[in-house]
Amino acid sequence: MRQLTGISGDRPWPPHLLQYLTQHGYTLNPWPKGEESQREALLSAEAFLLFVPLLHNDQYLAAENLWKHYLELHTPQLKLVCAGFRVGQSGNDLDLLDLPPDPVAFFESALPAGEYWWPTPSGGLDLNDKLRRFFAGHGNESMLALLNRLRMLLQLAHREVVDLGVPYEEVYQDLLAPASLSRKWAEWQSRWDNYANYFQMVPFAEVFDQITRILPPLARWMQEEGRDPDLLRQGKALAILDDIRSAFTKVEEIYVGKELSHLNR
Amino acid sequence: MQSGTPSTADRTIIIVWSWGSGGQTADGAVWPVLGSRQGSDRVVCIDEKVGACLGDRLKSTVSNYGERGDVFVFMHRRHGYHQDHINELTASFRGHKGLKCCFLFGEGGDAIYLTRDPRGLLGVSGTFSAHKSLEAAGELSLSAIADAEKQLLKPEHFNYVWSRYLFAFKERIFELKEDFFSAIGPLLSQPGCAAGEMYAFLSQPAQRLLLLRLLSFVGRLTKGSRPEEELKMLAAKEGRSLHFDDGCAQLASLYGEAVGAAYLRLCLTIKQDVLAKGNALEFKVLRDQFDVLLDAMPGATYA
Repeated sequence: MRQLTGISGDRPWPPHLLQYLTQHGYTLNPWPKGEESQREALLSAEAFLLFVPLLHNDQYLAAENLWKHYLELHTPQLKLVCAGFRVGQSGNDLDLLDLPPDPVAFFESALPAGEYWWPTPSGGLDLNDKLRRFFAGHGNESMLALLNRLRMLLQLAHREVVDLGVPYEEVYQDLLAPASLSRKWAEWQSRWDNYANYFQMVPFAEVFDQITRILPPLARWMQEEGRDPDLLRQGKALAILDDIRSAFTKVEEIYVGKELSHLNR
Repeated sequence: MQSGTPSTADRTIIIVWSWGSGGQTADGAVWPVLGSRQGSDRVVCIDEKVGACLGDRLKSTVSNYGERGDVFVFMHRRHGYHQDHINELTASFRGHKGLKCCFLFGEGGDAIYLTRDPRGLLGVSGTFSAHKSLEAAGELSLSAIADAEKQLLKPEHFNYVWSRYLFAFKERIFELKEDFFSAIGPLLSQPGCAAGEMYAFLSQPAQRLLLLRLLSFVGRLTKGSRPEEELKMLAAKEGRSLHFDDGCAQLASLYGEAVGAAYLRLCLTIKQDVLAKGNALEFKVLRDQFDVLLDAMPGATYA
């Protein structure tokens, strides 16, 4: 059997597509979790299928450009095929209401992800734009800027307590209590929840999932205005912020930098 | 068609709502947007329930601000406003400058609400601010107010609502098309279906919401009828705008005759071959009619 992999979002692949692929000797495997399994899936697949626009949480999303970047980086020879209920406009579009008679010829003639072409816009909510806003769209209030301000404050408090031996209560009264940590964190968390929801069907979804998983101890500490000395003293609060920052930087470098350079061409 | 960004013409959003119950602003108050040229972007608050037809006050307010630029009107369903009032208002201003678009809103499920969208304008009861509970981080205060004393609104909230609603109908039609073709997956092994087959499919309980949305799209839901109430309830439950009661009558006046004609063609197919036992239905024909309509409507699908 010829192998395909891909993502259909919250809607199942239409039964007639699966039937059609099976009839012609193809198996469509769901996109696995975990980096190793994903690498294997990409290596064994002939093409990566995306059901466009991607439905997630009742929102239709345009994630095709993010997936193109991802495949370009990891398996440039792989074909990205966008399947949807629209008239195909390129050799990489699969019209679900007008399936090609010969899928083997179709997949062979589709362009590899590494070549210079851009997917037909699916009409969904532009996730490239969302990602740009996530990193820079609110100016000083970007997710990263807010995080950096919190980090500077915590770094200062950590230095006072650990390096200079200032009693925690004093540092709390002078630095942490006036900073309204719970309010700042509620704002950050609200925006994080909002954005993280959009990025569950994208190539870096697991990076965002990982951030969500490491947040709870820091969130509790912030909600309590930083009263508990342990998280700061042991460096855990700063470590969590650093992990988030490095994950953000990685995603920004790969997906935002790439997109911007494409737009500037 | 102008874009969602500030222009030289005035932009006015008139909101008919229960302002009196919020204690933050009064009936008739005008809240300019911070930084707009001499307050040329503004929200006008009207708190007036409606009778069988629209009062002169709303029309004269639209007329007044319409002479200076574009006007959006939002009418709260709980204040008694419905599709007939949209039709009446758009008919009154047909051929005039000014009235850009009218919307019905309510039940907290629309993007104009801060609790639904943090860049919205309205709280839950007569205010421009709201509290939102966050599972992991307690409660968050949300506000569209830039300066409460001077009664000024934040420009980013005003601009967002303006651009979001400028293309709101396109978004709803796009989602109807995608939801429709996703739902009929089991029928897609054939290029079409026999007369009546689609109607039978949509009559299944699992397709109830889709059926109601299609009925609303073609204007077949009567105000106050059980199906109309059912759609409102389901839309509120899903937190999405699923009605078309405020949209379709305005398509031609908003976007021109080509859009109006494309809508009528699509409506005819849906009425005859999807919602009735008219003719055999070819899926590609229906899809193409959706696409012609969507392509004719200006702007992006999503703000």
